[in-house]
Amino acid sequence: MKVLKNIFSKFYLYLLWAMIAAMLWGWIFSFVTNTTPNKKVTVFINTYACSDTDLAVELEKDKPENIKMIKVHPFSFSLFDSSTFVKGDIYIIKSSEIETYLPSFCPLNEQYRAENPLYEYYYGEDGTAWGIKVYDASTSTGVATEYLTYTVEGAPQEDYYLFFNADSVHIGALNGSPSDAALTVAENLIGMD
Amino acid sequence: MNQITELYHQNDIDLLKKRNRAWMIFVSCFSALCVALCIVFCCLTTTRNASRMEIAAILTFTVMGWIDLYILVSIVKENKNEWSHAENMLTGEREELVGTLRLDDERWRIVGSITIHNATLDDGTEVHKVKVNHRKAAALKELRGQVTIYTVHGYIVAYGENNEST
Repeated sequence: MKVLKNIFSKFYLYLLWAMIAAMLWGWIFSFVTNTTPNKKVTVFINTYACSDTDLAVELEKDKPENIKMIKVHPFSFSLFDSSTFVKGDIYIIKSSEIETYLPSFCPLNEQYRAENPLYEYYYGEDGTAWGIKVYDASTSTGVATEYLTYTVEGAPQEDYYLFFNADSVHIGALNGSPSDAALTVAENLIGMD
Repeated sequence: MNQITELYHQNDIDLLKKRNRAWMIFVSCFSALCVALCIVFCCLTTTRNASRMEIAAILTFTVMGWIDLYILVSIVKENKNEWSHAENMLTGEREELVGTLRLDDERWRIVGSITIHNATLDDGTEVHKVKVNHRKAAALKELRGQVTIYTVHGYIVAYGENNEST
């Protein structure tokens, strides 16, 4: 009883500590377990549902040698911190939202398209190829359907495309970056049923 | 008058200081252990278990802090308050009062210091208001009849029962 009485008389201290501990250790944990951008590939996905952890684990099974981790996040992950969002390497977006984000993406040059002739591409009005189709609404087929939910009842059916961040350090010849890890991860992702 | 009973002793002060040192060593070791455990959680983190490891680290750190807080606030600080008060009592100038002592049951906590009981000593002509350390009050509650008390800064530091034989 005396112990409980002592605790309740200083309840505000215990509550304050809980808040500080959660914030402080949350920050420390992220800092310690994170790695530099050149050792990780980050994928942002804007489907209706996304098993981000499971997909990341699956993609890490075949990750490029120079990559330490693959992060998969839904768009809502960066709701309060847009600086995280712009540091992604790969984005999967529905067709109705492409124009909003298009200026941030890297065009897919002729060499890339020649190396990947089987992909279906998203073209801008000027004929520039920007993204790779990963879900076809007309046939209801897509990639990684075990991890990504592209449609829900009542919502309009849309195609989804995969894009690369123009500032990514992992898209090789597309922007002259030193690593092509994001291209490999995208290839693995597109190869998933 | 019977033998004088002292309420404050240097031995008690030394014991409190020794106990506090032991508690501080415990807090330091316990905290270091918990932080080490949190670091272990970080090292064991994989993509699949990252969320669970983060929650485990946060929970460990939070509970560690709560336990440390309780020890520091409710035990170590209390002990420090007690020995600071006791040191004042041992070095202060004494005043002797004789009369009938009445001790209040209610306790009062002095902010930043000890818990006390208020008491009154009626010497027949005047009622003196005095204070008693809560930890020392049990012995004084048993006193009946005329007593001699010694006070320092209004706190009872010693007492003796006056047995008048005929």
